[in-house]
Amino acid sequence: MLEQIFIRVLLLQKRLFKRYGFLFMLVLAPLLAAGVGRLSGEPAGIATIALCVPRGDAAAEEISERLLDGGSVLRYLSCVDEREARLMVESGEADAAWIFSEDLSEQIEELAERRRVRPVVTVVERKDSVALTLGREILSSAIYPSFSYAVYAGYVRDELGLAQMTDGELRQVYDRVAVEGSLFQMVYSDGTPGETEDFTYVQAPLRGILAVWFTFAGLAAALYFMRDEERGVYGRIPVTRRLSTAYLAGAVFLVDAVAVLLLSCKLAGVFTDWKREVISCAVFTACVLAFSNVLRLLCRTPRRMSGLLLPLLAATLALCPVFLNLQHFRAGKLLLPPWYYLQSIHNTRYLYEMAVYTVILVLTSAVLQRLQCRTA
Amino acid sequence: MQIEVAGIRKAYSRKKVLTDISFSMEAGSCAAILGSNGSGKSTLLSVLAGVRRADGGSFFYRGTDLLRHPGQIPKVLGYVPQGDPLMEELNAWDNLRMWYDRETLKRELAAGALGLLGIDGFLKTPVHRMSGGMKKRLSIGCAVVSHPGILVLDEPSAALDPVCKENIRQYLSAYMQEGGSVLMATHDAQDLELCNVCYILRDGTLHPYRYDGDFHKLAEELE
Amino acid sequence: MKRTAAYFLAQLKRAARLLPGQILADLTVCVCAGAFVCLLIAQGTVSAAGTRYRIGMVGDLSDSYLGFGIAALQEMDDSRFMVELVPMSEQEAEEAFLRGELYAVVRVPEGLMESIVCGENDRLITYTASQGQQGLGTMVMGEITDIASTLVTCSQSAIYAMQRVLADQGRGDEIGWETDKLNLSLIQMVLSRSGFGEVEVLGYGDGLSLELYYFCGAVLLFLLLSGLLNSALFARGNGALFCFLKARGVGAFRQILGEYLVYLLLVLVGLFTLCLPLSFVLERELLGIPEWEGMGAAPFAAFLPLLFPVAAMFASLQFFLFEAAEGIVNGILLQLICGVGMGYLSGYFYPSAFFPEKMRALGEVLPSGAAVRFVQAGALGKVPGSAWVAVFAWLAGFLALTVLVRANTIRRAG
Repeated sequence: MLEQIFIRVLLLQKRLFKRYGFLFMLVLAPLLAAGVGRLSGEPAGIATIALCVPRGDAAAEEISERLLDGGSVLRYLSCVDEREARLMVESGEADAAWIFSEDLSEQIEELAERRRVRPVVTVVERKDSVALTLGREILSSAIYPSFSYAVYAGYVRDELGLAQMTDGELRQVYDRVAVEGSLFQMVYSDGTPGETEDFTYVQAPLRGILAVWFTFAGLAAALYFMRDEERGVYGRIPVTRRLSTAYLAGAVFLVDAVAVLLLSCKLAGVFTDWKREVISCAVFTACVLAFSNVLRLLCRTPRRMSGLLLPLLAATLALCPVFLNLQHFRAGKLLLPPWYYLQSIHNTRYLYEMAVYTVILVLTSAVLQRLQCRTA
Repeated sequence: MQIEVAGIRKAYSRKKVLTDISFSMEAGSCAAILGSNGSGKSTLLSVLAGVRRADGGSFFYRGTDLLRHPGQIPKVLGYVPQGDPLMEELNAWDNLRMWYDRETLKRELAAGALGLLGIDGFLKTPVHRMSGGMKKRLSIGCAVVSHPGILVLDEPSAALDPVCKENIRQYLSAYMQEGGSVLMATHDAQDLELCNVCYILRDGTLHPYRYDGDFHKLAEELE
Repeated sequence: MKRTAAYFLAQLKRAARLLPGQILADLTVCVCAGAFVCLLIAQGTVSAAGTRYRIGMVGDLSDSYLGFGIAALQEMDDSRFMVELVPMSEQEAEEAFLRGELYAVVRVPEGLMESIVCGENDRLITYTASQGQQGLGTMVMGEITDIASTLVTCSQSAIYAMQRVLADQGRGDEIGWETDKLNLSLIQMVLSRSGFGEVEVLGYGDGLSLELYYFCGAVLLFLLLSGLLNSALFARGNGALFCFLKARGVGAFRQILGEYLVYLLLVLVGLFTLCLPLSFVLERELLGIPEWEGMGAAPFAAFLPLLFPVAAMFASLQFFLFEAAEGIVNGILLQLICGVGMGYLSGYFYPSAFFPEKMRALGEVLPSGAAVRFVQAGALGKVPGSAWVAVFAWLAGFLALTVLVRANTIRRAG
């Protein structure tokens, strides 16, 4: 019995590999993942800033260095003068321009002496947006180290009455006690730390895209089964045992897809660790299998099922955290397998929830199958 | 009687396709179901094969009601639907191997049903490269390797060349001689010569018909 | 020609049978897409809408300095318009986070303030901003924490340096008083840090607003993926029929032409179905597209014809994918991966400006990129000749490829 099941699995697999379209479809996913994963290392940003820094000014150069080396979500374009910077904003090449004062060092020192904040940068924007608001905060935090140093130096000289201290001496003391490193650390719900700096937002949606693709691979497997069933391929199996056959045939289809999913995650640079990924993928596979079988039994004809695909895709893209994480429609999210999978990578709670949902789906499919047997 | 079918009913939504199907068959006999297009022949055969569920009635085979024990159907009944239920991407051997073990197949190829059907001549040919006759013989082969007591065929001779039809008929004769019962839906005059009894399916019930070789008379009857 | 027309009519009848189901599915998609676009725009313009990110603060919040810091941020800092800090228990925060009521949870470790005062900074504040793998939101959160970290550590450095100077001068008794004074000065400066820049807003220039950008993206995505909806039309393609048609004088090109035109009609029906709720929403200005403000649905009516060439190009792409994929199932998967992949690369989900240069270039070359360039230029008033050429080149290319695949199918079936 087991040997025969094994042979069936092998033959169903052989059958799939004889379809070039299927192989092409399998190859496309890792190609996309590898391509985007590779390109994601290139400079990119949620807003493009034209940076106009006066040459020869130490403070301006220091600030510009801080901005360029910061690994920020902003992208910077250098420009020669204010005119060019403004043109870049006007033409849409940049979202904003940061034009530093010609005498930035002097201005900072002057402001530090008075211990007051006054504009030292002209920020030219096309339109206010969240990205540019964040950009202004990044700009402030890039200026602040120079400013706070100047405040310290001014304070020591003026308030403490140590005007004789040279710049070199002040700097030496400052550097000796300077506090470095971040006070914050991103952690996931399970306590594991966030990804390294190599991880960019460009790669971030790839796991989601692959999860949606995988779900649709499950639906395609169900469609494949429906068409085979229509042709009588499974006529030798009584209707009462058809559900287990559908699960087996779907599983064969998804075994290839899950291998591609894991490989693509690895190529895209979103892979965590083997144990976590394999367990999540295993439960996800079972969930997708059960989900597609429930839909198959509800739709009953390939035509109805294919009519459902686009609405389902729209709902999946809107509700699952693929491109954005909406905080609405939780009830709708609970129906979609990719939602559990995408959350489960860093939160085992969702892994359990996905397992429970899978059991519910399997039971539902069994009930639907029984009902369908009566009316078949 | 080896086969006793009584009171089978089947409706699609409100449309009653089979209202009261009853007939019986002896072991080693062949029955033909005739009827105009859409009369419900395929539905009847698929109900008996367990592919569709009957709304009521019984189908006894050697004392077991197969409609109540559908799990038994594949063990005792071989079913060949109208279209060829084969996996196009696989070859003949793979299609057979899907359902049967290697030893059984080798035995059947050497001196059994598969040999009689001439399947050994195209074992490695992928289904999508096969002719209609090859596909039909393979479909029958897939259904009979397990030596079922009943063979249900839905238009086995449709669109086949005379040589192929003859091959299939020869096999069916041999099958019946070994005690197997054949139930087939057909419109082929030569197929009817093989049958001991004919029924016309009309208004959801079976009406016995005595076929005397006059095909024109049969056509008028069906109209 | 007569036979081609007859074949076209036959396909048309076939399509007519699928129409009710398709319109129903279209409407379902419209509802989903409508909700998606509204929420996308709502999230993209948080500051304008006055929405605030709620951040749960948990852990050791007992320190008075920390309490003062949180109060200062909530009362005086510019960030108060965007961020709401809510002190709560770990369990409350976890539940609220799971319910999606919190944008992030920030955990303050015990002894944080002591660690900061001593300059050790060995207690890290941890934050969780995502249930799943990090995305754009968590990366933005990462930027915010980097900013906060810089402000704190630079202030610390200034204070410690001042303290060291005093200690070196043998004026250790003044340290406490001077530290408080310098600390207050620095806090004041941190709170008014937005004053470092003088902001000048130019307006839109020649680009699209984010709202119109996403609107175009959503409509194009619908067209790009509508192949999934029309897949039923391809459920019964068979070689025998194609051979028969060829024998009757309707060759591969004419077959494709007849089928493609019907397919295009279905896509256009889908587009018109989408237009009905969109016009309603635009008429009531619910989408808040700045370029079309106060004009109701009129600009959209003018914009609509520009979608036809793009719809025709996408229809040819879908048609080709179904023809090449050998079977509806592979066709659907191919449609999905190509649609979502190309949509992503060409900036239908995130503005393409977010992407690296090479990725953006790749996105522009793709058919989806040609479409977005065409539609965006149209939305701004004028479509350049190069955009027309790109769209029609893709359209012709896909149709030619489809004819080749069909000719091959006929050859094999014959």
